[in-house]
Amino acid sequence: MSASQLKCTAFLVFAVVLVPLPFYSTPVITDWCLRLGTLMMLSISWNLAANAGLVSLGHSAFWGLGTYAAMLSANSLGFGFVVSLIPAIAIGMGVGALLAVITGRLRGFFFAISTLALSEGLRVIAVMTPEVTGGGEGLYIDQANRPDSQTIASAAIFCSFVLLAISWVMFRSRYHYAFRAMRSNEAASQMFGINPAAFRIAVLMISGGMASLAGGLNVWFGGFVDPAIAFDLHITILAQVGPILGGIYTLLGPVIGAVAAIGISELTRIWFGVSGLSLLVYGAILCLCILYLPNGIWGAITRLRKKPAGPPARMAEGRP
Amino acid sequence: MPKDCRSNPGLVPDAGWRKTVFFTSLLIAGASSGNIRKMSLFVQFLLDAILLGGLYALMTVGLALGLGVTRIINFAHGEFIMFGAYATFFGAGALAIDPIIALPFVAVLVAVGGAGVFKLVARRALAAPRINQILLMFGISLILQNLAVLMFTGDARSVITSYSMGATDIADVWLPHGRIVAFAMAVVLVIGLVVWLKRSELGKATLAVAQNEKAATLMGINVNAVYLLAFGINAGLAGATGVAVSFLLTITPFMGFQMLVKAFAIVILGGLGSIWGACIGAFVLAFAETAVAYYVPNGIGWAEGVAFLVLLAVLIIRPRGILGQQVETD
Amino acid sequence: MNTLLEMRGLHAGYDGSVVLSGLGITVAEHEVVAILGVNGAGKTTTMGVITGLVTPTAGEMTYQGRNLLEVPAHLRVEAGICLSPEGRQVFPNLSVEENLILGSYCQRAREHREQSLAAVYDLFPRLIERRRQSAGLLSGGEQQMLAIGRALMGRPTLLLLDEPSLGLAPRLVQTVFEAIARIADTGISILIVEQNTQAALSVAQRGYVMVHGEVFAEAPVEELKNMDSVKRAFIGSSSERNAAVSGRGAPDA
Repeated sequence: MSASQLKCTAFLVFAVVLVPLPFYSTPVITDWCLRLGTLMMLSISWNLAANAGLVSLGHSAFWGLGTYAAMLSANSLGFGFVVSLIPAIAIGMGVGALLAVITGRLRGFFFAISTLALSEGLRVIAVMTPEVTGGGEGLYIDQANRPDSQTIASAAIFCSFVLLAISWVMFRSRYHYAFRAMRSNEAASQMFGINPAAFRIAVLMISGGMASLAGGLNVWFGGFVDPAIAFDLHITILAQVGPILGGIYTLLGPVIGAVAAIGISELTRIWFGVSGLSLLVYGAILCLCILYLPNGIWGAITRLRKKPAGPPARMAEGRP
Repeated sequence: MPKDCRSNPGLVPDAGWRKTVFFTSLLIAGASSGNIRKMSLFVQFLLDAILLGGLYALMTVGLALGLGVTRIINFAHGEFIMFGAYATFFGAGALAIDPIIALPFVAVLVAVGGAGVFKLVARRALAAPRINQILLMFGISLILQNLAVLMFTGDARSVITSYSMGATDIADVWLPHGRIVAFAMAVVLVIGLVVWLKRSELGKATLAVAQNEKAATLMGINVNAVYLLAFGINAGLAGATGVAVSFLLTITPFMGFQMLVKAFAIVILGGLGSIWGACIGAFVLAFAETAVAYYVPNGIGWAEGVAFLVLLAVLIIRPRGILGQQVETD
Repeated sequence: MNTLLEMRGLHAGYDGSVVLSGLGITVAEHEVVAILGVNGAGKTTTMGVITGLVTPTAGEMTYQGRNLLEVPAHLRVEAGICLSPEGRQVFPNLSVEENLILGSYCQRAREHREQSLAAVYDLFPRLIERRRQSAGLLSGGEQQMLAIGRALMGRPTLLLLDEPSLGLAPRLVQTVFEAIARIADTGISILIVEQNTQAALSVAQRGYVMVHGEVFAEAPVEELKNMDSVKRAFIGSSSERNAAVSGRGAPDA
């Protein structure tokens, strides 16, 4: 079996085992499955954009949009669980594309600030339109169509595998070099026959759609949303910790990082019992990884394995 | 060679004519209505907008300086403001020091703290690719925010002074004492910064580093020391902003984040690295927000979202901002 | 005459490519020395090594007997070395006068600022008219005068000039080089890097010809003017020339 076939098999095995897991375990594990599933989706989504040089500091915007889209379509239009996810994905893709168009070819900094401002702006809009969003008081999802928790958690795991497959395809395709080129020099990426503008739009559409899907899934599980929760900075941080801890420029990095992040979060909660601490720890992880482990855990491991083959890949691309 | 935008006549009238149209229309509306109460409302609006503009200018010039000199995007800026506010709070509480007196001390304290943070991460941050730099500073802001939660708890605090609640009524116009004091602080500090930049040796050296690092080194300027200084000033002015808002807003560990978004919107509006641009942008945003608060139904709530709209508008219409140089693409 | 600057066996490069290989140059007090060569020969890198902007990988360099390599870049002005860089590198948003004043930033020069300023204005009267204008708006020739004036503000014992004729019309080149001759008369040593051999040889007493990061020839100016090998090295074979032309603007100009 070639390495690629081995990976495919491993992928399928994990999927077959993990997707139905919630049905065969305790509510605690079901809860973990949902958190892990949505976190993996967020991580993969953020990672995709970051690989194209687009650092999002407001991924909560997409998550929140997905949350409200799913909830509103369920409540007002009577959409069922699965169907309500379609407007969630759609709005994420739409806003992602819009963001790409507006930030155009400007430096990554402009994109980062725009995502920050977008998240804040959406939060304000959500608060100020109570007729639609329930305003500051929030909204509850219509329980009539809610499937049981295990189904939702299972769906989350399933979706995360699907997204992993999508990102696998994107990184393996001829766009592999496009990503690397986009990171350092968009103009150079044209040498690979790509239209940078179209590529940016595509990446952000997919990334946005992924994140809003995660938000939509999550709201069915929790059943409640308000602007502060939907567009919480916390979500952006969660989206980043996975890839950075695991390794931005790898495929599995975000997944491994997501698992590690949840593990750390649970540990700190158990040890210290204080809610502010896990965010502090995440901040510290972010900084420490950037400073000392820029390729993340998984990235460092894969680079160690490749080392004998030649000089290490130059990760430092582009100038500040 | 980038052109000096201040002598390029195309730029300032750009912002100028829009503002002129805006105010003229308001003036005409106010005057033609013949209603004295509307007129005094308008004067009130002007006053509030100007007071807010001064505060926003203070909030932003430090960031603009740090960005212009070091090219590092300081996402922890909001947290420096927050720590300044907390320092004032504890000074007022434990030591009964009035914010006005506390101002220089808090500013210096936060400046030193900021310089310390910079020293820790500078070497890596400066050399790192942009993604890493952004995330590093973002991570630092997270750490600081949650450190504050642990140290101070998430409870809201506020500083009450003799002037924080008072106001004088002159001809139907309210002059809120607190905001005037904050405005005065802002004016002193911003003008002080500009004078320092233009007149002192170190200030001129700082401007030089912002414009051409290599040439600055050739002049005998220690560029790394100037980086440290600029970042320290950034932090110090942020701390001062914290002092100024400590008696105007509720103090929470998360107050910095919203101010950060506004500050960045202003920096982009004014043009990256331009101090004058930051000042102009501050007033533009202040006027826009105040106008929304006054003249739009439910405006006070919507005013918070104006920064986002302004940012969007700038990116679509003129990414370089009012006084910025041509923006480089990636 | 005493030796002012001495470089021996210097190697330097960027990102793995070698630019200087075993370079050795000396400049004595009150001397004007030219470094000639086409693009790509390593002339600007040499300037970079002297000013500290480029760190050599091997070799020695002393200035007035002291080891210059120990001195960090921003302290070399204090030591007496000032550069007018290739491409002028003025501070675009500062006025002409502000640019000049920055030239005397270091402690040693600050004390004599007014004096130096007067001397520079005397040398380049054009700058007086423009003193309040933004440096970024000046013409090429005026910027060159500004760059040289700014370097002079540092009261150097060794003035480095990197391609002062670049992009200037012949009349301006003459003006600039007349000024350079006047500077030399005041006793300041000058090391000038130039592609314009004629202009350079009009002010220099001695010259080096650099090819591919090494000294190809060294001689008093009169001899250089007649050396066949010099003419060949400079005009060069067409492949050398092409290589030089494509290297335009690269750090190892």
